[in-house]
Amino acid sequence: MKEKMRYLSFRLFLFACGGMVLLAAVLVVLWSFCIRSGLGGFLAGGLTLTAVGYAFFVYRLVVVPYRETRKIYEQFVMGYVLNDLFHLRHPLTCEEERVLLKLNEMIDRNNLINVSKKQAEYLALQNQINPHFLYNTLEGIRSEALLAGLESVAEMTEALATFFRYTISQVEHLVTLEDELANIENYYYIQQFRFGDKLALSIEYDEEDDLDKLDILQYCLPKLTLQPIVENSIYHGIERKIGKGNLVIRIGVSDERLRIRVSDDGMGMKEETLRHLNERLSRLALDDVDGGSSKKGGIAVVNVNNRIKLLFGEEYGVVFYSKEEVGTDVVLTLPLVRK
Amino acid sequence: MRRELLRMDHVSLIQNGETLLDNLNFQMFAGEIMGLLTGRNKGHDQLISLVRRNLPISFGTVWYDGRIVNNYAYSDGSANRVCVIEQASHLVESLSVVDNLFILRKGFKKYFINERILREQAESFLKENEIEVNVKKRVSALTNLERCLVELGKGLLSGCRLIIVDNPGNFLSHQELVWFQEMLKRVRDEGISVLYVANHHQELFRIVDRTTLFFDGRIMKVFERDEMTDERMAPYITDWFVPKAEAEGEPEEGVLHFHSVHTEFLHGLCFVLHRGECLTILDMDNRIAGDIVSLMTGDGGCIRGRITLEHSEYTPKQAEHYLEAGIAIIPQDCARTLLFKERSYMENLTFLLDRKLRKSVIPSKIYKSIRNEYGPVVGEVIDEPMVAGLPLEEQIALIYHRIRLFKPRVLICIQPLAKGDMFVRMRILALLREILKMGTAVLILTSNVSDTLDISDRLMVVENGDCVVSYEKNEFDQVDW
Repeated sequence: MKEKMRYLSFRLFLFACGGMVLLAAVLVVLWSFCIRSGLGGFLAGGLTLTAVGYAFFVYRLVVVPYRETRKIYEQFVMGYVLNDLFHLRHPLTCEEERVLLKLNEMIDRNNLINVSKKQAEYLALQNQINPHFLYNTLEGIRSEALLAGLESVAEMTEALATFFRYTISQVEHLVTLEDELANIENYYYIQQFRFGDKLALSIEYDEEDDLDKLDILQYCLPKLTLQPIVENSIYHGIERKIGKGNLVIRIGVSDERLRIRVSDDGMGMKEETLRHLNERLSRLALDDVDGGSSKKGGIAVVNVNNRIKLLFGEEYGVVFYSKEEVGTDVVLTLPLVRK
Repeated sequence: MRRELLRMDHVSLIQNGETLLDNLNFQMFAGEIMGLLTGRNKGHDQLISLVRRNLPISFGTVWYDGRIVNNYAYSDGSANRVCVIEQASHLVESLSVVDNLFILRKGFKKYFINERILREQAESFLKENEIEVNVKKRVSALTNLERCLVELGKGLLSGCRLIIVDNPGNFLSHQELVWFQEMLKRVRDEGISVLYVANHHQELFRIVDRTTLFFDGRIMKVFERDEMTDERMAPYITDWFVPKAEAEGEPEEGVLHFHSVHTEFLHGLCFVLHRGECLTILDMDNRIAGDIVSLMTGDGGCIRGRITLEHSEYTPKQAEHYLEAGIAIIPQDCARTLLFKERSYMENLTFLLDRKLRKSVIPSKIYKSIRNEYGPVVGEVIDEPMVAGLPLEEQIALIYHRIRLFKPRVLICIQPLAKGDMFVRMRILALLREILKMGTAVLILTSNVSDTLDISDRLMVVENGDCVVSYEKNEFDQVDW
């Protein structure tokens, strides 16, 4: 109780309860007075109705909005929302609203300052894949060299160089879908040296009358959004599968969103893992933003999701659908952005 | 470019600690038919309610027609312009089609109604939409298809952009369903979206543009048009049928065997009932009892599937003489329907005996013998001249004693514990135990398992006419109803 009394909301609640009791007592006295003095119930009834109407308005205009604000606070604390906190429909006080807006500015400034931090995140992603990736690629080169096929060694080295050039050298945040898919195709080309016919990639477009493939390719997305997901599909889905694995990237556009689905027919994942992953992806936890999370969490996809949510808002992001032994679909939802 | 009409973003709904909708993410485009293949009923009603009306949700956001209409922080309970066509009618049965279309429409404010004008308008509107219904007919006289078409017309008239069709295959005949689906395609071509909910993927594949697999309150996968094949679907839905596979492993051993029986409310029900075994079927929708009784008494037949009794086909013709075949049925309100209240206890007790003995007059020797056998069991009431004066407990007990005397192969009890207090229930359970001891197989159809588990050997949970899960006796502790 003592702890609760620290909060103004609790004190207000107590005072409101006290007010209600007082009001009820006044109404009881008024009713008994009216009945005793023969005034009839008209006056008391009218006042009672007024009091009930007043209480109703207080409920609709104060209690319901307060609950809404409180729910947003709770969701923020749980890590589900961020932006909603800065766009409250019913802030408690003017000062509180200003404090939150100031906080938002600070976070934004931090974000701006930490562009390099985001870049570091990209690098962290690369670090995550590099040892494994380089090892396998170099192994491929070595095999090719052993077989003395100089042309293929050249091609492979070129692909590797292109991949690193795209990953490291470009500094802008948004790239066109065309560039991102070119990088994926390049990545696939390199992986083919390792997997051969075991891995098949196809890219499909939901073309419409007023929208062809070339139009779709001009939409933008954060750089290195698809590569970690494709990499995940290969290593967690197809690599462990016996037999051929298919990877399908399907791109669709609606009036407001760009949807990219990366599907594999690999090993899939357990229901519990899937639930946990989607739960994690549904929220935007700020502690995932600092570069260490990709290592800590073990999945680069969480980083991709966080980047999308930070850049475009919480309504966008990544969702997984999966079934063990059947395959996994990763659906990315992005806003329509053109350069 | 396709326009998003409905979008659910990370929508969760938790009620009483149970997650009914779990992190739903999907969108519907204007002018498409999206299929929703439902595996279990969990979350089904809530999802439809949520699309229809902006009810409170635990998390997430709902967009409809380009704007946020529902959010975890604030739900105003307002209705979206969505029309739901389901088994239950949304029309006023006692009014005509034209009255339902216009007069009951939101925003209709005329004080004087010119029926002729309304009729002409209704006819013209329905003709425009290629809906063939007599507008003068009362709704109660309409066929199911006509009723659906009128509801569809009403939805279009009130400006609904989204039509939800909930399991039309359950209440429309095959031909009606084909016509109705053609109608939905025409509506789709005019830019209206349709959310087509069904339990059978083949039904959906015939008509929808995409299929969303919805199971246990979650979306498992969205199948695009080119992915909607049996082969692709099979791995996802095979699991749904695993619990009901029990019957296939032990063929023909039981007394009564349902082989994938389909009727109006049964959708592939399988089970085997063994001698002296008690099987409780928990009917979550409370709809199948009527169909099972009709099948067993010959009032109705299977649309698909078959029933075998003691290894031989149980045909509708045999079912007409179900008592002779060894089937006894105790309906829900048995004391009211199975007793001759003005007759004596002994007359009621021996009522079925003539059928068993195939004699119209029961010899006094047998009559006496029964009295001697049952006298010590039932007590003084055996001499009661009229059963009307007996307490409910004794009346119900009399029926169970009659069944004992008849000694059927299979006894079907419908909601046996629905009537009476705790003591009546205890008495019924004790009598059922006696019947089971005789080797009779007992099938209990109920919508509340609580007490019946005491005598049951197995429990099958049936939703939407099919078994979704079954429990053996040693697993009853996992049942948490």
